[in-house]
Amino acid sequence: MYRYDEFDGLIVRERIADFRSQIDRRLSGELSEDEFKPLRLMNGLYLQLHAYMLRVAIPYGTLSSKQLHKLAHVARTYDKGYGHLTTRQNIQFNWPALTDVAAILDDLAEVEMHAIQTSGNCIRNVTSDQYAGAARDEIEDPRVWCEVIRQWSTFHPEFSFLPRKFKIAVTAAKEDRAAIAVHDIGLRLIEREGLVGFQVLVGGGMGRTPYLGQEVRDFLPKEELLAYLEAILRVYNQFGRRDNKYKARIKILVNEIGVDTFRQKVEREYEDGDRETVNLPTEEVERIRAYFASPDFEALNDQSSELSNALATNTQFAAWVRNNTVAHKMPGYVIANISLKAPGEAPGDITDTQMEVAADLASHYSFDEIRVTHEQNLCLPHVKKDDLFAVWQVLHEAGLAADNIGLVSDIIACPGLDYCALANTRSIPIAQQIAQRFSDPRRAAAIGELKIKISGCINACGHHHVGHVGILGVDKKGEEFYQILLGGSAANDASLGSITGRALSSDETVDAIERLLEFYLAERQSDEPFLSFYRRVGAAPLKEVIYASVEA
Amino acid sequence: MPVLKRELNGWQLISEETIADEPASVSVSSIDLSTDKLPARISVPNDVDVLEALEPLRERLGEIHQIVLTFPAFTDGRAYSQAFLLRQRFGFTGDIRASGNVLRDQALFMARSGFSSLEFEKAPEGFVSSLAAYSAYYQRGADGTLPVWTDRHSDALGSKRRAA
Repeated sequence: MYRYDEFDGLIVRERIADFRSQIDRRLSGELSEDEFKPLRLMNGLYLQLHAYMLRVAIPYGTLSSKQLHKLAHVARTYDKGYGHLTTRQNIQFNWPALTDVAAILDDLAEVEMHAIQTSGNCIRNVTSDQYAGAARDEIEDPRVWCEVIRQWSTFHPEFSFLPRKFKIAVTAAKEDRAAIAVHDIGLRLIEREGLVGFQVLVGGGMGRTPYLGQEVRDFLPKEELLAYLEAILRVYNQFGRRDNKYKARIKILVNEIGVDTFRQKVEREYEDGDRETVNLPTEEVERIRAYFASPDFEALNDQSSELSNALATNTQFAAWVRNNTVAHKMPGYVIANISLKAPGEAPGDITDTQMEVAADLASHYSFDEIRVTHEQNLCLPHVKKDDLFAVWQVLHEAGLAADNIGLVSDIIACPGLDYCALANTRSIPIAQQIAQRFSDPRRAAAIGELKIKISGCINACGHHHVGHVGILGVDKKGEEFYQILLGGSAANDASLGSITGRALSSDETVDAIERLLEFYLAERQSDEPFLSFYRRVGAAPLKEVIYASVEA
Repeated sequence: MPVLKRELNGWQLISEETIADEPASVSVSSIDLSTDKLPARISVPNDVDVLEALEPLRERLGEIHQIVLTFPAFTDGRAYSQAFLLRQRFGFTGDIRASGNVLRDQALFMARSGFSSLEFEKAPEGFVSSLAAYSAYYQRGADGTLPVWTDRHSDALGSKRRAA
């Protein structure tokens, strides 16, 4: 993984000194809250319902064990002993004191971490495929380009006060695990006639007006990436709407002027722009690429007798392997997901002790690497099959062996009204109730792959628009109600879900989802996944089931 | 209002007399191209497409001493792109003045986008330290600041690009 050189370290340290001065001026009253707000936001510091919240960047979701140990230390020392993993592969601490923030940043800087641009109207932490460098279906490691973007976007003088926040995702795999279609810019590395380049999507996003990204370039030579991103950002910075916060994302610009006009503007800017000094020279790309070289994998047999024996004797372990592991590009290795969705727990929350356990596993069994997924789980990218049972035993002991990756209880949920000042409703309790309702593993296995995504308000931080089943919290005269959406997807077949009808109470919602899934189990054709089932039968019969036995 | 200006020896506060002597600026939309002499100071509102608005003046930009760009609110960053385009696309070498809601925590972004003078409300001490808060950058600035990769690769290619 990437390691800082003297310059990266210097920039982060200078940033802390800069931010420390800003905090001091806020505390002394020299800066008004209005003036301080955009500054603290550019450093990931939000004022939430009960306290400040600090969002720490985990660039493209990759962590070393040392970094995860440090996050555990922050959770223990400055917070209430836990952190919350986000859909941008970052971690949030919900209870830091403003006076501790600079000290936290000092601690993080020791392990090459920061909170730069995790919020604010700037280019946010770039996200990627959590299986990067381990997946069988990728063209090259997308994190090389993520790091190129991270550096280019850090304190970009021209693009730090954009009309609105700006999110970029990169994938290099056939299967999109980075949800690129719902990003301001989605980048997919593809191969064409022996060359590698990017397909460039622009204008995807969720929030109150969801759109899927549209193709602006079918193939961009990869060495031209930064010049092309500059062109897109320059068009957006000048012409994106600033009169209305809710119409300020690039998706609105693209759709108001049309993708063809938008493309013309971008292409002209790209042609005329200063490409030579914006694009990195090959030497610099190769310098960065060297950090993402494959670890020293052993030459192994793909069959592991240790694994076979354990699978044969331990059914709990076998279920975990079935649901939580994914094929690795190297024989004898697997990708092992650690679910943070144990039924009854808040999705994405992790305690300091669990962080320490996961960090130790990464250092012993996964070449010191661990990943945060946009679905709010962790992932050990390179585990030997021979070691898998030992890994599981440690996870089991630590309460981290939930075997539900991709299943009904692996729910994305925003923090909701439990923490967030913007929320209309809580999200976490609905996620917990659904997970508990479907805690029977046989039932969950029968239902199979299902993405439930819950947002506590229309800002859609819980990605409800792209859930196979989406749940949106709405406030009705001070009471919490929930709308159900069906048919969304953030994968290759990206689509936006449709609202089924009027909002339900929380109890009604959980009951309605149970009826919906029972109906699916009864009516599906052989092992048809839920999303295919929905696309085949359409919304009408499912609406009927959702609203059956609900008082009109 | 005080003005900090980039001089050869760094950012300097310019005198009140100098400011008082500055001619009034003329909005780019009301410039009469048929006259022999363009105004010395022009202003470009921040919702104007500079590429379009200044194209008719391209050959005569040398006559203009200063272009004033505006930040109606410090959160409105359109003028950063305008300044970049003036420096890079038009090769404008005169003064680019930041006016409006100019605060010290945005001053360095302005300087790196090509602004060479800043008109502000508060005392200048903080500005000067904020303008010097960083000693390395990831991007090439419109003020000539070089990206860190030129230091990382001090080989022939690096120096060629440095000279460019």
